[in-house]
Amino acid sequence: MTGAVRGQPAIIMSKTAQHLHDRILRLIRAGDRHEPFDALALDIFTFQYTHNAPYRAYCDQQRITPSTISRWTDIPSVPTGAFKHLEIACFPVAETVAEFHTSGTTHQLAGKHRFKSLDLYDAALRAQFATHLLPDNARPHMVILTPSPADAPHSSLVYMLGQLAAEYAASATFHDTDHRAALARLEELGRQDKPVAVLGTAFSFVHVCDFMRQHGIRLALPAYSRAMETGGFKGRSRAVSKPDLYAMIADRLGIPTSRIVNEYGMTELSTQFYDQTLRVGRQTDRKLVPPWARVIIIDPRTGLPAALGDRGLIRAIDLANLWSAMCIQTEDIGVMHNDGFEIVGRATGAETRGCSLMVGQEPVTP
Amino acid sequence: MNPVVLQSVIDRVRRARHRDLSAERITRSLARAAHDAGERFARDADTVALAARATGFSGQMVGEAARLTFGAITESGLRDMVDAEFGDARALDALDEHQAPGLIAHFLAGNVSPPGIVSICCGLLVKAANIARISSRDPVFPAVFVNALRKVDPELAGGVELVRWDRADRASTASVVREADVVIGYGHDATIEQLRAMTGPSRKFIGYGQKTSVAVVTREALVPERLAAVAADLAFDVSVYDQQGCLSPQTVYVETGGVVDPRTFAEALAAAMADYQQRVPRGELSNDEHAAVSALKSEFAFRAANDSRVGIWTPPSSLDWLVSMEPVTEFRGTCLNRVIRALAFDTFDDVRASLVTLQGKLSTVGLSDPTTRTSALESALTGLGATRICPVGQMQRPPLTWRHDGIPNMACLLHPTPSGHRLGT
Repeated sequence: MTGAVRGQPAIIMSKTAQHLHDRILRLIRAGDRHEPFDALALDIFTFQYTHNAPYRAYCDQQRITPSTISRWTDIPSVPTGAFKHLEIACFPVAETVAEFHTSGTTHQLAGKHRFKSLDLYDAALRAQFATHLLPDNARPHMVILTPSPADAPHSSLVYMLGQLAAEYAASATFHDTDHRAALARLEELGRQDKPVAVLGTAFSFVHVCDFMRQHGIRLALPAYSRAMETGGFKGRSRAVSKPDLYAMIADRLGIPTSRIVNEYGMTELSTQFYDQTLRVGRQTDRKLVPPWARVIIIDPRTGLPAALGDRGLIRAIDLANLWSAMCIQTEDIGVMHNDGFEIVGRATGAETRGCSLMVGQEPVTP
Repeated sequence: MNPVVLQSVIDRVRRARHRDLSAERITRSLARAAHDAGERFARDADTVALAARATGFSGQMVGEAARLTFGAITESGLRDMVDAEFGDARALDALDEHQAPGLIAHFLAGNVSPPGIVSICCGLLVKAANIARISSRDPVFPAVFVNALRKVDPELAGGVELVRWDRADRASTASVVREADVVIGYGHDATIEQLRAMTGPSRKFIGYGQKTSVAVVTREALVPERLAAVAADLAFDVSVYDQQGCLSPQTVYVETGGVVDPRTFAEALAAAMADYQQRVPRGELSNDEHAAVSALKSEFAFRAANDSRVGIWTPPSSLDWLVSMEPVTEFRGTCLNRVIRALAFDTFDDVRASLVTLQGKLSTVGLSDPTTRTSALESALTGLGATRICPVGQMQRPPLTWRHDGIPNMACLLHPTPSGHRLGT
């Protein structure tokens, strides 16, 4: 199956699946309190235990099954690495309508996340983006620093951006690494004083800003412009801190740091998490969790939830992940605070204290 | 560091340098100092505690590190090294004024002590003046050694000064580099490149960057009567220095088709890791370092529930060590801190193919049983840049004659003679 194909005939689901699907969709669309999270999470667990064989084998080994579980906090999590080795899906592969791949090198395996339907994915990405990037109900012109969906059919990020462009943009262009074209478009929009949304990976912003610095270019984008960056510096040979990145963007593009928002998402999840920055009107690293999801920070020493303020591994419970596994253990390090959680780094990022080479834990690209 | 103070240190060490001390005397004094330094660690709890705090190792591991570091620096070991590189100690004494460097700057790094101590010994043996910038993670080992040398042979000890400043103090680094004839850099690859750039083309630069090591356990070792011993030897190689050194294996290739299968070997290795942890505990890890181990455990636990070729072993209620097992793949390192991947292989070509991406980055290969069967593999590993193939259990005990990263320890410090004929090879 190639790409994330839309316009398919109606997808046939079992009654159970359809019912769960509809409950999740109502929760995503209607927001708070419509559907109790706990009961729905446990019902999804039963569904996923029943239909996802690798997950069931793991749950059996952990001795956590639908007949023994009582709290959603006990739902066993699937590590993101498992997607590289096993089919994490609740339906036959032949029924796949879309699949997203993690970035792997030619040697390393790529993880695959398959979907029987993208309805929940589409609802979640819209709800979160609208809430966090368009709290003013703006309809910006989007300048997107990634390949187009046609050119990157297995990228969940690119698919998301394609959907958002179609739904929320007054106009949208994809520029991949063509910095000149991106800048030309930005200049043109600037001349027309049209509010712009620049979206891309953190590293694409670095490349564009480096390009601008080399050519002595600075833009002052119109008021009400905004930027969304994502992805961090996983596997890159050069790391730029978030404050430095935002200072670069403010300097070169004229978008103030109070209008730059970080998005945290991954191939293995259906829901994305955003900084609250635009909603509160000032730069913040805190991300809130929407009603159909939960985030727990796991203390790596104990495997149990960490105390507030302590660093640990991010575990996400994403009800929109109906077709695979809703409870995902990431390799990202975060901290939970009273006003949301923040991403701190990658678990595989710690450096050696000695002279040993640390290699091959993640693919490296410049 | 205050530039005036630094300059006075440089001047002092140049003045104190003695070109007339015989190589034989230097050898005896270095060996004596190493012995006394080892004794200090064996007897003085405060020294051990200080070293433990700086390195992050447990007190027991500091003791292990001291035995390994100073135990290697014996009279016969030093003589063997001199003989291997120069034929004979008298050749060192016959060194021309122009051949020996005037001042060697050693930039030590990290918490694994042997390379820095050996570096200083080599610098003294070629009768240069030596400035060693010690690392914040290992200030105690070099200091104890040099203090011991001062008591044993103050004249010789005058030829080495230890200095210390933050890596961010590039001005002090630049001052020392400017004065030096030879600059030796240890540490992370990025640091080495910065030092190399600072040294420039007019001075000699030698860099010892990051490397990794692996072990290979073959069918000959996979028999019940040898299992425990091989596992214990490997657990030692893995666990020493908490796996932070370039000689520490991150992966062990285990051959299928033996009397003992790879899973049974992995179980034996796990038992040996637990045993070693009891005797020599691992140092404390930061939350983030713990997170790396935890992430690996999560991945393997899930996979193991679904694939009988995959296994994972950790202590029951901690992450003090980890053994994973899976069919052979392209080489992937671990997060260190006593985390070892076992890869089950069918043919030696699987091992060679797995290690292809480590070209130039491979240090030592611990091989349980070198035989006619392994000779092609050994050639291939040497071709990948492995500088030493040795028995499992000996990976962390390279003789002084071992050429660290393939570079002769001492001959590389010398200039060619005016006629172009280089002393030693």
